[in-house]
Amino acid sequence: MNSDSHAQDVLAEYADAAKSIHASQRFRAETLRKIRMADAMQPRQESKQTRAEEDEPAVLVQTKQPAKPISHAESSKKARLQSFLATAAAFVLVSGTAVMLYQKAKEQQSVTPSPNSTASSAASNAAAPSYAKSLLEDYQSTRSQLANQFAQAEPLFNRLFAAMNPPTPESMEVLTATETALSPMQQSYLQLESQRQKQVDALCQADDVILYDAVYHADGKLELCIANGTDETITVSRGCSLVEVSKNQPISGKIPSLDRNGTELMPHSVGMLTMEGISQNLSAEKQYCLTLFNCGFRYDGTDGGSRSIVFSAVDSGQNLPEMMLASETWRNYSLETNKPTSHPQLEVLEKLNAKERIQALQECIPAYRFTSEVCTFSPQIRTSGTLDNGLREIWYLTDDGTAFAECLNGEEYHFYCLNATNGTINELFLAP
Amino acid sequence: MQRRRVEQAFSEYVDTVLRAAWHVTGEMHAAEDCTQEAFLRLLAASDAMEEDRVLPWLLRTAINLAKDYLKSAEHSRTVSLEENDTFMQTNFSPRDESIMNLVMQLPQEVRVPMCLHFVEGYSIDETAEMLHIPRSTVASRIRRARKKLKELTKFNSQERRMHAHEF
Repeated sequence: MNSDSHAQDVLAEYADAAKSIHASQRFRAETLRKIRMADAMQPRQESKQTRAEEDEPAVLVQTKQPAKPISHAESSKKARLQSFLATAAAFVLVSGTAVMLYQKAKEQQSVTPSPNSTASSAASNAAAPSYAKSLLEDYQSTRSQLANQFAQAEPLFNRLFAAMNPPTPESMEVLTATETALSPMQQSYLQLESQRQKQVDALCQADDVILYDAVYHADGKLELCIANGTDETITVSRGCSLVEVSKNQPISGKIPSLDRNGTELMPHSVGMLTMEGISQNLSAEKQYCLTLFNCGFRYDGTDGGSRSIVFSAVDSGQNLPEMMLASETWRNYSLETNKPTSHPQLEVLEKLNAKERIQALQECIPAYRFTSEVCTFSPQIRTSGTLDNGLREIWYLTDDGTAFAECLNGEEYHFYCLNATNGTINELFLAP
Repeated sequence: MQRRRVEQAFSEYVDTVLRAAWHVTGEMHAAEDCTQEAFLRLLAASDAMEEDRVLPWLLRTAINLAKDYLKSAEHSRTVSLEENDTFMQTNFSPRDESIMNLVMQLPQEVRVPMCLHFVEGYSIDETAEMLHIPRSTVASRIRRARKKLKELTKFNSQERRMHAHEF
């Protein structure tokens, strides 16, 4: 064989081998995810712009915008007050209480002090899982700093709002003093908030995020913890008002949910089936003050088998949160039909202390992937037609009132962002 | 460009773009990186881009990225093609690997046009457009590539014969 034909053969063989190169599923999925994430940033920015053009200031929009220097040259009281409110909006991300504070101020130029805003954060930190890794610690550190910032700003707000109701000539002096005091804090706050957003974004971009835990705090807040499957845990969600649980009453953690038109939807009945089970174990003679404070997930280990939802409750009336009342219960769901596969089962694990409980839950975690969690949990969290494709969906709340929804619709996996303040819903990305 | 269009392009062209990048780098991880980046950049491209311009645009971008990769400090810190078994990541047979190594010994500037033309089946004009070089340059580089490949195969054959004699 001469070298010419040999070279042709080599080229032909090379071509055959090269044709066998195909993008792996991993690569396809990762790239699609990145495309969607990159794209997701654009609509959100557009949304901000669109919202900002409207007359009514939007808390979330304002807070995410870069710091606006407050012009002391503005002579109009109204203009200055509007400017101040925009500044104040930068401080309202810490808690739902703060959001209310802002909204109330907007309506009546007066506001009730909010003593719980920092307390809730402290409660949250105290309840954070001890096994949380650096990601959680970083996030909580940022959040704590944000809470501190707000705590510093809050008296100023209150003083100003009081001075503005009704407006007097002295009000303007208070306004000027408040602006001056807030200016450096605002910058710091926005930096912290930006940092927090990045931490949340980093989490949302994780491939194999799982819903790890949901913690209901006695102060009426809900935290959802999600982990990325490598033991790194982060709490991204807070702000749901907890409805006190009483015997034979379903838990209806009312997540702020608005449809595209701003109409409030049906409350999500987060723990209905849970309390149904728990209540069977309660004594009719006793008075309980149950607080559902935890839920987790359990996998039966069989291929394609059932998933379990595990809820825990404490009798906060006895002030013994470490001595759990009674309560773990679960129900099996088929991933295929998304319906219960059997009647509710009830298992009572009495006298587990918190550490043992956490260990028990930890053992359940590795079997889960995020999608599985969505399938499992979603029947309880339906949103009444907001997302008409959302047979299976779960909502995550962030501090600023934004809710994220994961929806599995056939083969498609949607990720939505709902702005609870103005009710807009944006699809963030379509994961493979 | 709208995400849906990018996703559509991705599903249609990902293998083609990946292979083009791979022809340049000879490394699957690098080719994947360049391909991914090309599609991400497509997202930022104008939505007015006509449909039949999308693939050439992607190929040109991916190839440029792959060339940049070869020039990059990161790559120069690693080992050369001759020193490294670059095909381990692709599950090629030993025979395929030897063929790949042989072709990869060609200088990049002649190898890429040759691969695009002979392996991927692009015309001289299409190849010229992708590489941003004149048509005549593509043709001459392909000629040089074939000539060089002949020399390499001849050299390899001689070497094999010599080794055979040694045993």
